[in-house]
Amino acid sequence: MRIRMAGATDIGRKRKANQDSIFYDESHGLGVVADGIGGRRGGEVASSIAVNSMKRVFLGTESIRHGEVNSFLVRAIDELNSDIIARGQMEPDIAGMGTTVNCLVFVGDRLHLAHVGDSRTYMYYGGHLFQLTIDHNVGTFSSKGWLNPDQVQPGAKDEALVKALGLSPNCEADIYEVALKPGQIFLSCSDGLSGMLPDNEIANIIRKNYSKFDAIPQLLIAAANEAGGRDNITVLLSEVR
Amino acid sequence: MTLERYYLVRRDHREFIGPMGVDEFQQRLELMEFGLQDEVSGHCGPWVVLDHKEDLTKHYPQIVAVLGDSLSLSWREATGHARVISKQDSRRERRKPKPQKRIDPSDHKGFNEFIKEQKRKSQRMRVAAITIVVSAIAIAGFMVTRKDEIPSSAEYASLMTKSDPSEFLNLMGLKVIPYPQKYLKTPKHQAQWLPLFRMYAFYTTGAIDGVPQKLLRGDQPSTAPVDCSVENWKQRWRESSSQTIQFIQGKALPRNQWTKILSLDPNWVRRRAAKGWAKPRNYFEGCLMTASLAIKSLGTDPGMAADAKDGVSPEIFEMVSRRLQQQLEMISDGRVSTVFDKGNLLGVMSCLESAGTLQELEQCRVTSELALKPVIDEKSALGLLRLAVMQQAGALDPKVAALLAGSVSKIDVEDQMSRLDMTPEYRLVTYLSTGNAVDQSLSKVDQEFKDIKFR
Repeated sequence: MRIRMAGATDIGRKRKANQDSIFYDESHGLGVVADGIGGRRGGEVASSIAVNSMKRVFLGTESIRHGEVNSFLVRAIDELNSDIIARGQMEPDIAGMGTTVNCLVFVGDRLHLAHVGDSRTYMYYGGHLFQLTIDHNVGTFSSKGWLNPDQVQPGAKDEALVKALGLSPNCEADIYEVALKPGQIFLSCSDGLSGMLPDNEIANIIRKNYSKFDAIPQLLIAAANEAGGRDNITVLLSEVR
Repeated sequence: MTLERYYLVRRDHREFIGPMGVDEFQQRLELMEFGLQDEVSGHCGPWVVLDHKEDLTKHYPQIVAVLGDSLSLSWREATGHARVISKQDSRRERRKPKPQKRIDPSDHKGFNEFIKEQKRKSQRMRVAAITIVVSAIAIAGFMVTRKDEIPSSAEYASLMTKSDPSEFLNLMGLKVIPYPQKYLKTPKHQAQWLPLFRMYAFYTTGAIDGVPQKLLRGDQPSTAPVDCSVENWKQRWRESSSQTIQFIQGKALPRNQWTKILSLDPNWVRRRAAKGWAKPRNYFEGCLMTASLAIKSLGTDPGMAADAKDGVSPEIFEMVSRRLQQQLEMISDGRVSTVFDKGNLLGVMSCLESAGTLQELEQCRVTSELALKPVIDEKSALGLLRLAVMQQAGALDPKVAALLAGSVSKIDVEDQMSRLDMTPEYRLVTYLSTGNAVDQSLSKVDQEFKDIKFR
């Protein structure tokens, strides 16, 4: 299987800074999208630590056996989390910063996906779009009965995150595995995209521009901006060929 | 052009199967690649658990049709819904007025036919009656079996407390462990069943088919071992036995999974009973249990004898096995039943960790060429801390107090070898060494670290 990747990030129309970070390297089969939280500078720092640390940890590892990818991701996410907390402790003005992360590792005929927060990864296949990740926010957790009302702060919005890197020393990522098929496209994005465009609109844009793979990230960003661009928008596409 | 509908299945909350059309879905279901406890999603649709018939009917009627054909029995068992429908149908069928057959008594042939028909009817009635009785017995048997098949977590929890775990392990292995998807389906299920799964795992192989290590492990510090299965311990031993032996012999301080677990302070583990764990009390005790199983297995593995050229002699296996046993005894009872061999680092560590008096503690110190001074110093300081905690209320024994004051620099907020958090221990040593009474120091630390139990 070969993987082709394309990605882009955009400040959006309302924000003064871009707190999203993205990294992808199709030759190593690694893609990372992070959406920072916690003040203007804190968010930027947190998401960039997440992306850079993952890149460092992954590219610094000589080789990972197929059966070890998931445990590697657990360790790597722990390390990212510790790095963000440690940086916050060193610089009080950015203490409390956090970030979401979606990390895609392609090994052999499988995708290993680590997910924390409300950035999403979708799978597009044959005109169909499936959301693979579960949003780690109050709305989703409450609707699934995973949060008791007494665990939710009064007035907490549905979009409030219940999990993000940097917020607690113990941060458990969701780890998923997907068997790859040629024709699949994985779309990882910050909530600046998924919060502005309904899923079927995202699917339509991919379907209509399927042959112009490299242009799709910018087209999705443009559509999110057209719909209001309330947040930073980051899009990473990974196509299985 | 109409697109074929594709569906994606999420198995065990961690693996995706598909996307696939309905036919493939049916085939893979029949091959049991996934089951009713798993979830399905369609294009831009929500994830729905396959046995939630109502939601499934609302979102994915095509899937309902497939399941209705191939798994209608399961649904009847699960909801009783289909059975009710069929009962109503048969009642309606019975109520339907049937056309009367007119019999002419003069027509012998017709009359004989009528008698024969009546006989056949009564025969059919008898067969039906027998069938009903047999079915009733079968259903009763089935209900009893089903009741037996769905044990409550409380029943198992009571078995956990028995000193002999074999009954618990047998029953769990038979009735619960083969169905992790069913018992660990949601966080609510996990809250009930995960401690039981963990006990089963760490008393056996440290792993359960269908249960991710991540779930068994739970939230742990990043410095905790990632995988404590017996197989993983064996693999790590094979990879690092020469380093580990150097450590045991006091020649070097390599940090690998084995040296870390062997230097793990059992008092540290004992103080940290974790939520979601019962037996073992936390992940670290579980890791010690599986490491102990692994080393016993390696020590009796004829293949490992060939490795003796690498220095892995039976004595080393015996030493490591004894050390792990002593760590586990300390966690369980607070004392050690076997003797220490102070000629090696492992014996010295056990001695320092379990000393009950200052005299015992002082006798553990070795002046031989053990090169691991920082580790020994740390263990000595923690040994003094243990003596202080064991002391009744009041001012600290002046000799212990003086030694402890001199030991503050020997410990840190992280353990030397494993890098595990020792802030509570560090804080307590600091309070005690600055002249605070034992009870006062303990109450301060208790307030600060509510989950840590020093006494």
